[in-house]
Amino acid sequence: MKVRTGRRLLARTALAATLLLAACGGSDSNSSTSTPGSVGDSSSTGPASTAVPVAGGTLITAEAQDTAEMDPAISTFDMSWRLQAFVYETLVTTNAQSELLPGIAESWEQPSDTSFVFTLRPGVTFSNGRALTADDVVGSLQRIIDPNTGSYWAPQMGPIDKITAVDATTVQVDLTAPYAPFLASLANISAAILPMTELTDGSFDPTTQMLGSGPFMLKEHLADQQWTFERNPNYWREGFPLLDGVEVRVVPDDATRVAALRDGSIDIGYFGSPDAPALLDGVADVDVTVQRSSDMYWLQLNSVGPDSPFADVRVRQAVAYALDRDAIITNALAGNGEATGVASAGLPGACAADGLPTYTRDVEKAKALLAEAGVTDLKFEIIVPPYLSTFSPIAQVIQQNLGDAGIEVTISSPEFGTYLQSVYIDQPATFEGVVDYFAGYLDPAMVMQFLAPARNPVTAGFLTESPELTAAIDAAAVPGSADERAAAVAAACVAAADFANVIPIATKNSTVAVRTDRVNGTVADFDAYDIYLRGIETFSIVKD
Amino acid sequence: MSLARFLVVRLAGAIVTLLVVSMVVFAAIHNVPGGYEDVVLGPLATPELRAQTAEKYGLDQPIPVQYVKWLSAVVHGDLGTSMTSKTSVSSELARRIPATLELVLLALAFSLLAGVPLGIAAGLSSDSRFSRATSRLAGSLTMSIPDFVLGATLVYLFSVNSWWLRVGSYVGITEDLVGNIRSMVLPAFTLGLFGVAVIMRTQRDAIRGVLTQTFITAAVARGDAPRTIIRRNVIRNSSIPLVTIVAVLIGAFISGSVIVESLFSIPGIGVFFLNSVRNRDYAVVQAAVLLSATVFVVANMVADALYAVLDPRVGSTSAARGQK
Amino acid sequence: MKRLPFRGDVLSRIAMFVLGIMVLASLLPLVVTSLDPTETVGPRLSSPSGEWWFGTDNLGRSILARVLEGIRTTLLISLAAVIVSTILAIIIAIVATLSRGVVDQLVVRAADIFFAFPAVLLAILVSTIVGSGSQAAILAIIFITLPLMVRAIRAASLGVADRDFITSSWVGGASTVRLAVVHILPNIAGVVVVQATYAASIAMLTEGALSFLGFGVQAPTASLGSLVQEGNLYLTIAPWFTLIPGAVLALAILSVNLLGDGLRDRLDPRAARSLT
Repeated sequence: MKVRTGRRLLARTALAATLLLAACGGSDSNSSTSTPGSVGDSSSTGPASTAVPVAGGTLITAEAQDTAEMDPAISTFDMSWRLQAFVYETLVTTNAQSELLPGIAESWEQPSDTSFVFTLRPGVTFSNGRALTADDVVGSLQRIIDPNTGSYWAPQMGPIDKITAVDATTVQVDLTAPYAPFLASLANISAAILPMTELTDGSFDPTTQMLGSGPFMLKEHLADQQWTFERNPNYWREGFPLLDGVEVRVVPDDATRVAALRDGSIDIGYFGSPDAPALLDGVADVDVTVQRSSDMYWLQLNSVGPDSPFADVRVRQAVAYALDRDAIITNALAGNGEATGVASAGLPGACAADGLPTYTRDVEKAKALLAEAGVTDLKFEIIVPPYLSTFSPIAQVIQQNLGDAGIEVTISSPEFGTYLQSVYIDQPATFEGVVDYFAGYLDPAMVMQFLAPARNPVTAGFLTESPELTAAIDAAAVPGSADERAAAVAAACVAAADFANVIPIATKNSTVAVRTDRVNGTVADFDAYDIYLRGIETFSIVKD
Repeated sequence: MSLARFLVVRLAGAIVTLLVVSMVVFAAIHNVPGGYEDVVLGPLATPELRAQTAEKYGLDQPIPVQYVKWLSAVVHGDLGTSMTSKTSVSSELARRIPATLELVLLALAFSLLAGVPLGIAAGLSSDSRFSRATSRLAGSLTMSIPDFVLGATLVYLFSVNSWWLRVGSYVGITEDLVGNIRSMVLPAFTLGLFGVAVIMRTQRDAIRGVLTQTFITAAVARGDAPRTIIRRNVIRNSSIPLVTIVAVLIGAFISGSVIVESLFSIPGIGVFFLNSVRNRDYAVVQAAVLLSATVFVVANMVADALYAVLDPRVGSTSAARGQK
Repeated sequence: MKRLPFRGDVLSRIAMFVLGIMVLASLLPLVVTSLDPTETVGPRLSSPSGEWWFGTDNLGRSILARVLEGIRTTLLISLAAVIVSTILAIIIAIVATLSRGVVDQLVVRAADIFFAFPAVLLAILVSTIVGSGSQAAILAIIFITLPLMVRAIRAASLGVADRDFITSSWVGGASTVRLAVVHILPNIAGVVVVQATYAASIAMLTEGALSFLGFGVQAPTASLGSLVQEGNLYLTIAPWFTLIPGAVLALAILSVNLLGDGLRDRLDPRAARSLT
């Protein structure tokens, strides 16, 4: 748990006295390493510290990309999750400490290992005024696990047997086998509760409209330009949200986003670049938070394609041994990230990356493994997907690393459609290697579910099924004490590192810059699901 | 050939040009790997869902059939539906046209306001080797700095310094005029600098050409005042080639707007086109290319017509002018 | 010693000199191993210093080495494209000239059609279809420069063909190929050289624009355009990363343009520069 970039955070001002603190108990209460004067520290220094949160005003944020995804069940991009979190809510929610907190469900019980009973919060309504009922919950969850929906989230929810409405405010979910990450899976916006009556009767189309029980309503989406949200007057939490609205602008260029923060035309800027803290250095009145998440970069090898050299585990291990994670983190990620196993390093209970098999760089070992496998002059192509600027530097350092072991890598940067096609759609997949990133999600045993290809069409195109690895993954998801679970997760990390079909590299951080003279609100330094403005309903605009 | 006949021929040519352009784009974009259904449904959708989506948008039909359907809809004024935003392409285009239009017009205004006086000065100035070399260097330099290099330099200068002009905070002209000017000056300058050089050269060469004409010699022989000759004969006659060059510049600016809009985060047609190519949003790509090509073709036609009106010789010798 | 070209034209001489230096410098990494454009040599984003004249990039590579490779890539792509484009343009223009009528009109119309595509849009479409990379850049440049060159060369060869001596050779029964090679080609050589030089400057601009938008050459290969694009992310903290390759690209294009003007003054004084 290190990170938090080395540079001193600018003095926090108005962020201190916020309601979120009161609501969530402060974000520096446990393992996170807040430096003095950082998130949640109430020793404010700025002139705005006396400001009392006042209702009203519009908050303007800016992101680098736009998204076309509106349906939570099938949205795979973090940008879409963030927007949907303004409008939709989940049964369970989470915070910077990755705790499970009540959401639409006011409370829950677990009568047995495989059964969960949720009591819905009274008074929750959709923004159209209709009360949210148990039927909406049942329908929404069932929609996710329905194969026809094509939701990537279904495998993460575990072996669901049935979902039933016990009464208007009680929902019961039964699993066929114990699955520890179940509640954590409900906390992702992908498991949002949708207005099922309207969805079923056709008056609401989740792919083109948003209608939820969250603090804001979607007013307008101007593609490539802006999302406009306005206050949901029917929001269940009395007196909230404080803001009248939120505008999310699309400003693709980092430098122009910095300029917009400088001239005050935006209040909050979101940056994916690991160099963002340096870009923002010296911008007046702007507070910078490096927000860690469970996201991690990884190298996927295609072991399934015909004639793939990676069908041989020794060749995959050779690639893994040749990687220099330190060089990747230092050179490609500006030191902004940490080595991780398949359970994301940022999560409580995750495995330590140190000491995992194939993780300590050993070029001689790599060469020996290649010789043993009878592979000479290994050449392969690494795809760099077009949607993150960090993929290319990572791939270039990997190219240098593997070159030391006599492995020749070429790099190609296909268009988005071509990338999707060759990695996830073609069966078997037609790529050789790809640098990509996945969220680690809220429970350390979650994302590794994708490494069991027999039950995951998503990865079946390029991953080989390994009975040992699948068994380890299953064991990691078995409920137990914290120690038992940590041990099982660590064992899965070892098995995944040994199998080396997906090679986790490092965690991915975001940077959030806030105009302290404009905004009252706390940006947490960790969010497992990339919702950097979690708690947006408590944000407010500083009034002079 | 009469003027009317000339215009009809040009119009027919323009329509054929646009038809072929649309066909080429249609065939091209539909042959790109990674279809719309892949992009919009993401990696995890089932094959059935993919097929369903493809069917919904008619993407499962042969490309010629899709083309004919698209064309007949376009003829009826329907540019189709943007598959990513699920709204009509015409409304999406309409929303973005003002920004691009303003950018192109400002760039054009800048090119003319700076280029014409410079060109006149260069054309009339003494023909010393030094002045020729300086004007040639200045002209070539402005023509040689790529817009993305110039734009990046300006973004750098104006983002590390709090000067009045803005980079990256586009403000619509209807929202706030001053804010709009602050956000549009630098992009227009970036786009228009190349045009200054082009206009300057054209104006200079035209003046040089006019100066050697017999009617000038005659006027000089008549003893007309130099100022009068310049105003009445030289400048007026030398402005004819500008008409053509402005049409060419409009095409170049539409092209350059793709880069300038992305550099300065201006939500115009150029960025829309770029994103739509990336999203395989066929209807938008087709419409955007068709729109740009139409503007270009129409600008050229108008230039031809103006040329014909301004210069009576054109009616009969248009072919000899080449196509420009 | 042979007389230097462009007597009395200082600018063209300087341009030639600059281009010569660039070509030679771009070959240096092939012989000087310390100028490896893919090797990490120091801390990332270091500013220009005695050790790294142009500073280092986001992976700690020497930007000098990257720029030299970039010059080579940009020049090679432009050269390859312009050679193909020139040869095609000569053939098409002469065929059009000699056959006249329908073929000629078709050529003119086809050139019009390609001309109606805004250049950057055309380049992006080409790149999307064949996939980003050097081939895409070369192909896009050919598509953009071909119509311009066909127009200029056709106009010139039409002018030549209308002259008396061609008509008389034709009447005298000279074969078409002979007519083209012996009579027309030498007479349009000047126009071809001038237009090819201008096409080279358009080629460099196009390569740069494509790579800048991410549709051109792909990392770790460097072109001057792709370096500007890579550096653009770090514009405010490492301006040299973008501005140096940008300035080199502008200088290269400027030199080619000045050279083109010089050649035009020598070889084809009446022609105006055709435009993008």
